[in-house]
Amino acid sequence: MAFYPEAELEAIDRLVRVAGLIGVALMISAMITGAPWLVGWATTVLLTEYGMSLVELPVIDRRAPLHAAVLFLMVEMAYASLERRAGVGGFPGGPVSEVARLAVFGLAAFGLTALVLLLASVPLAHGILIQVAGVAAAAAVLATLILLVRQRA
Amino acid sequence: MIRTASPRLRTFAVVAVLGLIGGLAAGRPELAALAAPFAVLLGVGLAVSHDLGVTVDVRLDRDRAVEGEEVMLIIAAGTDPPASRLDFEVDVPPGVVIAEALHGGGRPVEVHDRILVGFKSVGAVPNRLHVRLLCKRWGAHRIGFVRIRSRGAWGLFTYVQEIPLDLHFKVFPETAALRRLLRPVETRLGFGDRVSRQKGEGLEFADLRPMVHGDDPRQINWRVTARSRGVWVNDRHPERNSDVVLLVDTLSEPRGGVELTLDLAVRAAAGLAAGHLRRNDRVGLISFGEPLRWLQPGMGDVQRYRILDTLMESRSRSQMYWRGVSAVPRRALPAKALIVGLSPLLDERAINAFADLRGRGFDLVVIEVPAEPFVAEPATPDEVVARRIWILQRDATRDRFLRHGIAVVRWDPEEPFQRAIAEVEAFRRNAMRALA
Repeated sequence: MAFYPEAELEAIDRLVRVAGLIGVALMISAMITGAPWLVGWATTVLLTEYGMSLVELPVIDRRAPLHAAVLFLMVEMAYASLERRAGVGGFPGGPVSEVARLAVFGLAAFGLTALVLLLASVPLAHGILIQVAGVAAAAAVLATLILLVRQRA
Repeated sequence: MIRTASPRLRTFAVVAVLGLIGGLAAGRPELAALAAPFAVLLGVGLAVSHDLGVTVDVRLDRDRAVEGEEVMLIIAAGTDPPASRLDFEVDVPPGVVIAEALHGGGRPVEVHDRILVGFKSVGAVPNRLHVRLLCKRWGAHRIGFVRIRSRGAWGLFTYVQEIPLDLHFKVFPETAALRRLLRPVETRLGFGDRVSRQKGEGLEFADLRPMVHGDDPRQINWRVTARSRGVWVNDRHPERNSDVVLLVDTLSEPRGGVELTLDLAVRAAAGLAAGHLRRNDRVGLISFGEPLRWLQPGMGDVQRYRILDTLMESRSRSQMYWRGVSAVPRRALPAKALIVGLSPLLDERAINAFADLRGRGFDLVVIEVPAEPFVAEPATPDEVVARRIWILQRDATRDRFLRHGIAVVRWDPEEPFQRAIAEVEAFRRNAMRALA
């Protein structure tokens, strides 16, 4: 029985690796075939892989901002590459401004994720109320996004 | 413009939703934090996105050009609100390529095949884009649409609008100037550059004969008259014009790469038409296919453009229905006309029609546009044998024509067309000599 948690962790670790490989394979396929929808699937799988990897961690992952920045940049670069290949104009400006834009986006993603983690790690009283407020805030964010998408798309 | 969500928007939405829900469900703030940049960008992008109105005016600077020349397509586009960038996809017809695209100020715009990338719109006031279209192949061309694309803020939306157009322009085949032309056996009564075989008033000396009542005294040959009894006058050959009918075979066309036998035949026909019209001959045209088209022989620049316009519409179609050369009205095939057939000699109907014309006594010349370079090389032994049989059959057809006194000359596209004309003339000279 003492080995059971260790065996379970090993299985999760294996799952994480498999998910990571699938995510990378999907991204490579997207780049080879030029199919933008594969980028979405690859991102989802990589996000799931990161979520599974957190199971092994008892504390808050301090590398999360780095993960966020890398994931964000990967998605942006994949779409920029596919759009360029398809002859669809990218963002205005030349390659320098494109690199600058990506750098700013990466830094912003890093900073935003770090800020959210910092706020999440602040110990607050009234546990259940804070939980409810958190759920409400998340629901509000999702509802706003859904509303905006329905209005604009 | 029609706004559609880009794949980026869907991915951002999925990551934001999964991250937030997953973070809440698993109690891990890292997932929600990871989704935060995606959610923020999605929210801001959606909030600042707006409808994009576009006004476009597209026109051509001219509607006629010669192969190798350029036609300018001018696109004036304005957007409300100003778009950072517009991309245009132009419905460039086959045989025409985009050589260059320039902003009104002279700055180049990136060109990918038929897509122009990076046009700067300055807002509601239209900004001009000059697109140089290089006409590589003759034909009656049409630009059917211009598709405009733009991307919204943060790349979350794509705006697309297709502007239907109906811009027509004609590209005439480039014709080599022919120094020597075919000499028709018979001439007409009209004045021209050709020395007639008949005797009458003209410049070229023909013969001497005793003067008869009614002769012009200025024609008296005093030198001969002084040495002989009686008065002698000069006979002269009058300068007349001829009827030339060009017969372009569009019944069959072996395709191979860009160069086609029909291309070559049309270029040759255009060159011949221009040359004969310059010499005041009457030139007619029969596009020998289905539908059968013809132009009565005529003179001048108007006729030249009529011929070119008809040649532009030459298309090879494989048709079973065939009315034959008897469907051509008599006035399109004048009795003393020189008929110049331009054909790859592949279709039996065309071959029979040439024989039929010769049988009716027309002065006929066939310039063969060789089909062999456009046919794939044989790969298997069976194909090698089939190819040899085919070549022998073609040789037999040529011999059949030669036996009937029809000049058949193969025009090697690598050689100037003038050479084929010279060969035809040499054959006809020899044939005349043999007949005499």
